[in-house]
Amino acid sequence: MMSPRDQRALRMGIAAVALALLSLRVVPWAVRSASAERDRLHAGRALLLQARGELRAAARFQDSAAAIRQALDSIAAQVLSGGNEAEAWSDFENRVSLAATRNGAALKRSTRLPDSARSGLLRRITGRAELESDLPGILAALKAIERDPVVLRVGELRVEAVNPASQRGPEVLRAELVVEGWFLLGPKGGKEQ
Amino acid sequence: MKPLILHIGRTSLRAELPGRRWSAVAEYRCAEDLSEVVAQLVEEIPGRSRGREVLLQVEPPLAQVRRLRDLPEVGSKDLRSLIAIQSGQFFRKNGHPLITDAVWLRKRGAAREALAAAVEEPLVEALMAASADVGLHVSRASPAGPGGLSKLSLMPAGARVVRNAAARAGLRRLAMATLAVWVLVGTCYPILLRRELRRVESQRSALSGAVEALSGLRREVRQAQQMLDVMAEANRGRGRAFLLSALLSSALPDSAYLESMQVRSDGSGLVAGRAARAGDVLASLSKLDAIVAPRPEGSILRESAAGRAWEGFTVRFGGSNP
Repeated sequence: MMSPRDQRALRMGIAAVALALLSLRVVPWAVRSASAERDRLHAGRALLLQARGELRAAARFQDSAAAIRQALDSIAAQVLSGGNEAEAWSDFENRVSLAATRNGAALKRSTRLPDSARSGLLRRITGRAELESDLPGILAALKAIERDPVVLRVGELRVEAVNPASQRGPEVLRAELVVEGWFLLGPKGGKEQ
Repeated sequence: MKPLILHIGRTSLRAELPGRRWSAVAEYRCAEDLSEVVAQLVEEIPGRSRGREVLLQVEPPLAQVRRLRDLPEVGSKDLRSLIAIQSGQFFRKNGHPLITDAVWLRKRGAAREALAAAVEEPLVEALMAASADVGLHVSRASPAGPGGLSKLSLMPAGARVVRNAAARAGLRRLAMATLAVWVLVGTCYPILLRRELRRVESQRSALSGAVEALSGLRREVRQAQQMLDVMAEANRGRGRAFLLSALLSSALPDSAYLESMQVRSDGSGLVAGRAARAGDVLASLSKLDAIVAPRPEGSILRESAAGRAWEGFTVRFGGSNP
């Protein structure tokens, strides 16, 4: 049988151990957990406020989005037809060839140049075209290319006389044009090379 | 409820309610009379008296107060024990047990001095019993007088024990209540926190569809804006190559002919050919605003062909490396 004094000492010991466990383990863990939960709550509230703010501003944003969509529709008329590079290149060649032949120039060769420029669904296509004609013919073809309803831009032009030493016969010039155009990638245009 | 102050003298008992400016006096002959006297006084108290607290002030000579010197330098608790044990040495006993108490006035040094008081225990107990009979509760008994006398307690030892036990029990109850409040707070806080977190999360998930749709729309609009910018930029550069080429070819003097020409959309380029006087070509090109900074390149080659003298020229314009 334990004496009352021993019992008291035992009770005190158990209380001390329980208190130490509480203050060194349980309470810090509880405080850390509560603190983490509170941080999560603050972050969640901030995100919720942000989401609400964004949704409040959505009506205003949708107006400007409609205007931009309308402007985007006008792009369709300014780009090459075709939803992939092959179709767009075909349209590109046709347009350059038509501009040359209609203005008395001969399209000798057209070569596609590598070009990786892109913006959203827009892809740039660049080609080198070699024309042969006299100066008025070259200039007229150049003018026709740059005034095409589709936006074709001549980035570089080199003109050389085919036979500069010859003083006789008609003037023959060879023009090399680097032309850029854009096309809109279609839904099935993802496999273009 | 304000406490009732009972002043007990050798033959009289005076009751006083300081807040109400009420007091009453009654005479008594011996401790046995106190029960009746207290009941009589209590009847005169205005308002409710039951449950009221009583502060007992024992007047001299019933309360014997002494200033004691030359006591051993002991702690406060030991001082009380010393006085209690040797009460007969310091106080008149008259054959009755005494209730004593003492406090140090000056504890240190040779001039240390203690204040001690004593009262006959049967008198105080009789008064406490009389008070209890009429529903009053004596919470404190001290010698009447000014200054440090109020620090002395003349409550019987049993009452002191009961009072201390009651104080400890009250303190324990207060500690338990405080602990319970903390446990309650510690339990409720995480629960409320979780509940609030769930509420916020559910509101966020309710909005997430609309927010994602809006983000997609924003992305699309941003992309569309970039596409519009690209097309606007492409449109801006159109026609420059034609314009420069046309200007160059028309600006050359009649006596000159072109051998080669390079034009870039950034406005730079190079023109080479032959002319009767190469200086005329440079002068003609310098007059055109669209031809920026025309400058001869290399030396002028002079030669004759078909009976005419020619000067070969190369003119560069625009950027430094066309």
